[in-house]
Amino acid sequence: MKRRGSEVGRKNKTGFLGRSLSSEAFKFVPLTVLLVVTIIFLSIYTERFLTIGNLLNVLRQISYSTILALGLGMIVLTGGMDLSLGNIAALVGIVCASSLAAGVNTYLALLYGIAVGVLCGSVNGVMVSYMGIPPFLQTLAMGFVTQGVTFLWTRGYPVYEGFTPQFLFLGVGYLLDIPTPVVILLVCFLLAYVFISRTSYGRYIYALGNDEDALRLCGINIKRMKVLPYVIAGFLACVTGIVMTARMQSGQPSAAGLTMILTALTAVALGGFDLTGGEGSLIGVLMGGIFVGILNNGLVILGFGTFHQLIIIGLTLMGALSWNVVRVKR
Amino acid sequence: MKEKKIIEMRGISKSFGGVRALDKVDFEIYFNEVLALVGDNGAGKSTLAKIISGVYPPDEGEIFFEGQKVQINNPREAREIGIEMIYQNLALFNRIDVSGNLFMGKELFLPGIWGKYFKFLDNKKMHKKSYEFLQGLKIDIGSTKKKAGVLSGGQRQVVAVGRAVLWKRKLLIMDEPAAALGVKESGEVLKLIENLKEKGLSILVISHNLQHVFSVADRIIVLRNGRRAGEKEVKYTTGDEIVKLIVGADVII
Repeated sequence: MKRRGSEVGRKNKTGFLGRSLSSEAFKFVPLTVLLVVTIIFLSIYTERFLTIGNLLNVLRQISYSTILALGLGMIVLTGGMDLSLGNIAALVGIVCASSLAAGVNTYLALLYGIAVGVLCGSVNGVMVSYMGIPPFLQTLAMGFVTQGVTFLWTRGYPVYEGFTPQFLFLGVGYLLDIPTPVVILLVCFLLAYVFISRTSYGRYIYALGNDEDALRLCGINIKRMKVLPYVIAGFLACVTGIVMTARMQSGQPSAAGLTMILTALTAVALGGFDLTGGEGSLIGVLMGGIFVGILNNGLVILGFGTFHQLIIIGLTLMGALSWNVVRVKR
Repeated sequence: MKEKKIIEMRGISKSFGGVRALDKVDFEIYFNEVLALVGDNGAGKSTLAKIISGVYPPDEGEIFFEGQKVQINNPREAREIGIEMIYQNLALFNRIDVSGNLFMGKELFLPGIWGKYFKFLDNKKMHKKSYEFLQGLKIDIGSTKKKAGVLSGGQRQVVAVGRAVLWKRKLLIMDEPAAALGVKESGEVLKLIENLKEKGLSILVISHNLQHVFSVADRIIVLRNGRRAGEKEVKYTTGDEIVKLIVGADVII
């Protein structure tokens, strides 16, 4: 427990407000600096980076993994982890694509996909909360199951028949000149942000990561609260899977998986989340997602391939995690 | 001083394996009283407190709360009838602000459908209420927007106790409230106990520190080897007398 002598006995309310706001904002300083430096660097050294077209492209590319990261962030807040979200997203995409290929109505196809994803998320939540399985292992196992089902169902081939215009709109359309996936990301972000910072459920999610036993003493149903973020994350994984499938105009069995979780986790870690739970802001996730997107985009423009990207993102994740550990200890 | 009793326990016994931790103990706390429970290590103080707060059921004996016979099977039931144990680790959420800590589990919601169906918090109102409330306890904690983790030990104690008061508990059990605190901070805690008494609460304080006990308590009950060794009113006793009761040295002197 840190004690700051200078704070004791002061009554100036605006002073405290100012201080607490600045300490909140301070969390994002390193990330903001990193973002700005990267943007300046890429703007100077490449011609293609700083164009409206490319920036919208970056936003569209990050939308999939960042929607996923919002849900992952909520789980991390409770002190949990979910490695299965990428594979759930891929499965949901396949469910939707296969349903459309079988001639099912668009809305019903979306509903099937969402049902499958939310079910997987709920199973994760119940196993972690009621059975007490460590989240890493439970969600790793769920990742294997969903991946297995996806490949068994499709035999590894992409599904690209029967897409309807309404479904494709979710991936390739524009709303007010903004790509639909970006709009969907912003809507998901706003809803998730309001949920986590303004409602009692959000507060319990933070409290759960702070001190589970203390929350139990406050008369909150811990087990039920613990399931909730997994279900929400399952739903957001559905959104990711649907948008991604519509964007690629095909259900790709190997579309998401661990790479996407790596990207999402990097966004969460860059956003200042303490992986033991209890601390982090979804604004950080959004900024982290944008940073990862710009980094990937810059690497492509600079001529690096997918493998380089993996290495760089992995190293970024390690760096962000170490920084968070150092920051908490300080 | 024969007012009504908030809690009365008759013939309470509790054994752990072969060890008899409490042996037919009678015990009572009056309304609006600060009672200190003292005794050597292993005398049964904590066991008794845990029976009152519902952590252990007693093997034998009856408990009456506000005149009604009750059975307290778990901490939740204790809280429901108005008994709150303030734990030594204080059970605060370090990275949540003071107001959030005070209202945890009893949040105030926005009026209308936003609050009712979507559980939107009325943070402004909670900050205002918690500020007024802490003023009412005559405790200066600064801003209610401070995170609990940056508070001093005394201030943390205030928040933990404040939560119980805000929830209208009638009997507080404080286990070594001033242990591990500095001189100034333990002074704050003792002042807090006095303020709580003024607010009409009944308080059971478990303490090793006789100086603290004498400065806040109205009455002292001494346990020795799981039995009630004696009871003294603070006004009519001395530290020596209590120490003799604690160690059981009357015979020698």
